[in-house]
Amino acid sequence: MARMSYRDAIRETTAGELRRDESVYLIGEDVGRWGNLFGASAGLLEEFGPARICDSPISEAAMTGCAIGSALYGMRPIAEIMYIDFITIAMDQMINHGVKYHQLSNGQVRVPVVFRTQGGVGMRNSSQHSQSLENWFVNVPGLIVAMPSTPADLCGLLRSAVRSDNPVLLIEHKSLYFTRGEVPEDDYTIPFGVADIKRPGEDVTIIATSWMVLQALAAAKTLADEGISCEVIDPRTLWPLDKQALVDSVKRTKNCVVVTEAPAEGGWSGEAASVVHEQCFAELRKPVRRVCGMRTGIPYGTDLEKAVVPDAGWICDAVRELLA
Amino acid sequence: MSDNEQLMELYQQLLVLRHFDEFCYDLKMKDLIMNGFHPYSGQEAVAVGVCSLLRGDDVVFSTHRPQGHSIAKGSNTRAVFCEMLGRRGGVSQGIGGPMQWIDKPHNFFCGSIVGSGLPIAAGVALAFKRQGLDSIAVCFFGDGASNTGAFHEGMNLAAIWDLPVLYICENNQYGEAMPVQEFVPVSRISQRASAYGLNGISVDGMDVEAVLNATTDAVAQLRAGNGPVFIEMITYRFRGHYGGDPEHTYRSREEIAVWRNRDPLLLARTRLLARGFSEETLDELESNVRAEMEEDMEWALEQPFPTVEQATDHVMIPLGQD
Amino acid sequence: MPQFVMPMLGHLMEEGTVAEWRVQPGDQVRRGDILCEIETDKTNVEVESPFTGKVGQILVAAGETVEVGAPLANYEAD
Repeated sequence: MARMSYRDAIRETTAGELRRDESVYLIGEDVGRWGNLFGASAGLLEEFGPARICDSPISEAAMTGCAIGSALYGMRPIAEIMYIDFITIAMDQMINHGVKYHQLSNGQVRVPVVFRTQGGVGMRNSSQHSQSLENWFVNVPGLIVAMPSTPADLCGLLRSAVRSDNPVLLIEHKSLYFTRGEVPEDDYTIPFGVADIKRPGEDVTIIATSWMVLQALAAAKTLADEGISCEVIDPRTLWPLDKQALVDSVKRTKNCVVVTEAPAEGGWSGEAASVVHEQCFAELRKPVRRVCGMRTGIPYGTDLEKAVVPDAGWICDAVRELLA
Repeated sequence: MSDNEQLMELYQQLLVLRHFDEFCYDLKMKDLIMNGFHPYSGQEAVAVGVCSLLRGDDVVFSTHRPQGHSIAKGSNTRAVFCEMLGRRGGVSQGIGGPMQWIDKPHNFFCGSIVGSGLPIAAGVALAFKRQGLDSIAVCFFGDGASNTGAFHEGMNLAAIWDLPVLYICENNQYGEAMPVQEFVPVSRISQRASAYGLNGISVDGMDVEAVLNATTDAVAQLRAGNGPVFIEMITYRFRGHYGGDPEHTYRSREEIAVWRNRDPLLLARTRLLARGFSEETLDELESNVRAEMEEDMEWALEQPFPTVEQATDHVMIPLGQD
Repeated sequence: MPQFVMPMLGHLMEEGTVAEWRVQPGDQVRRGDILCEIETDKTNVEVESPFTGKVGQILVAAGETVEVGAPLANYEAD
């Protein structure tokens, strides 16, 4: 085991994949000279050179289209979209082309591309640099959507993403980059569609994603002092979704809260809640509660951005009300 | 091969594309092909001239009007008929339809989002360059595509990284119903190449030999590893944007007649006659091609439709096998 | 007395290390002169003086790591 930050886990895993497979390359804005805005690829340009650590122009359609085209002919690109907010420029390339080619070729063509990006609040970046846009992508047939919450999950899921022949969108969170955790040192992978119980408990199941997993764990700690035992489940991939893990947990606890930073309306949180309602209706004591970001643009300023997305306090309140 | 033999082969290909297209037009009018079918008649010299210079390992990206490029790149005409008709046996098993299919054995891709192929073609070229190959990527697009963000982003990327992509703009004078001079503020779309440090040229896209000559130099340059090339082919769409569109709203019969006088098949035929081929020989060739296309169409019409199960085949590679 | 503090140099920077001082106590500096080199977890950055004046006491020795915002040196303003 090695203790490392989420940011360093990205760098170490990327470096490992670049060493393992010559066809892997990283393309993105300032991934080379700057080593990514957060240092998630620092030093890689020096080790691997500009042919494999490609500084892209600020041109998201070009970068993603280029990644897709090269993936059709033997390369395994990791295309980094600096902020998920910029992915709107790349969505035609991703959704209409990259993700469609396998089916349109009757299975003859594979598009082994990883789209890495980061979203969420935490840097006072305001409304065009702080969004949680994962819900849009859960709606795209053929696209895997991963949202690791810990350095260890990041390593395993990023390895799986690079090694998969399916297109994968891996969404990081800017508030996770300097969180730390134990990471096994072997070359492990984590399969898509396998949830992880981050904290076992008996009274309520809290399903949370990405940075909200940390908020849920903090809430569980507080609630434990009040005698409430929370089980925190991280699906790790929004699609494919490990429905069985959610259902098994809720059948035991009989209570369920779903937590996402993204707004509730039209979102994955509704999908998770529906799965639980459909399969645990008899066991549920009360309807599933959702704790989600407000339906608003993310405002500037530390206090305001914190005010519009869930935290441990919101989750504690929801659990207390549910169990009351 | 003599110039005469070469022109004869090109002419035969022009005939294949034309008769294939005309049969598709008839099928569309019988509602056997979707209403939005986009005919290629009039533009054949571009696909035939360019693709005659390509190798099997070169990759072509095409548009929502892809049948000419696909057949010229080597796709089986029966398989393309089947795709048009949504039958099993189509290049994409009838799942893709008339404007989005992939023929991997012939390294052919197309798609119906205007301009989107440019960045992807650049990516294919990047892969070839990294792998030390002299294969090239060719991207066909229309006049309308030259206004999209993807056009700019893709062309720019190919230019800054010297990628072996041949960008062929088929200026057929209309973006759907809008005349090109209304949406492009320069007199030649090739002028746009200068924004990427490229020498764009404009070529008579109705003359298959002119297309061939211009493209020959371009392909040689690309195989030698010298950056992207941008060629504008000046051409004309004989039929509507889609087969049976309300043409009178945007162009006159007189205008169509003028361009039909420069029909690429007519130009090639006139030249072959001048070089000593007989009317009989050329007529016989044309009737053979037409009969062959008819036979392919009839064969395709006999093929089954995909099963309902096939509708969701290959959405993705099953987990665990990916 | 004005102070020179560990600057916020990058995204999410929490702390920095003084790699090297380029000035000594008593030196006259102008706004824009290089005061020191700061090492972050990403890279080394030369940091300019935000003031014109005389460098007073140096509070953090080369090699030491402090949080963003911690005082690094005092000035005697002109």
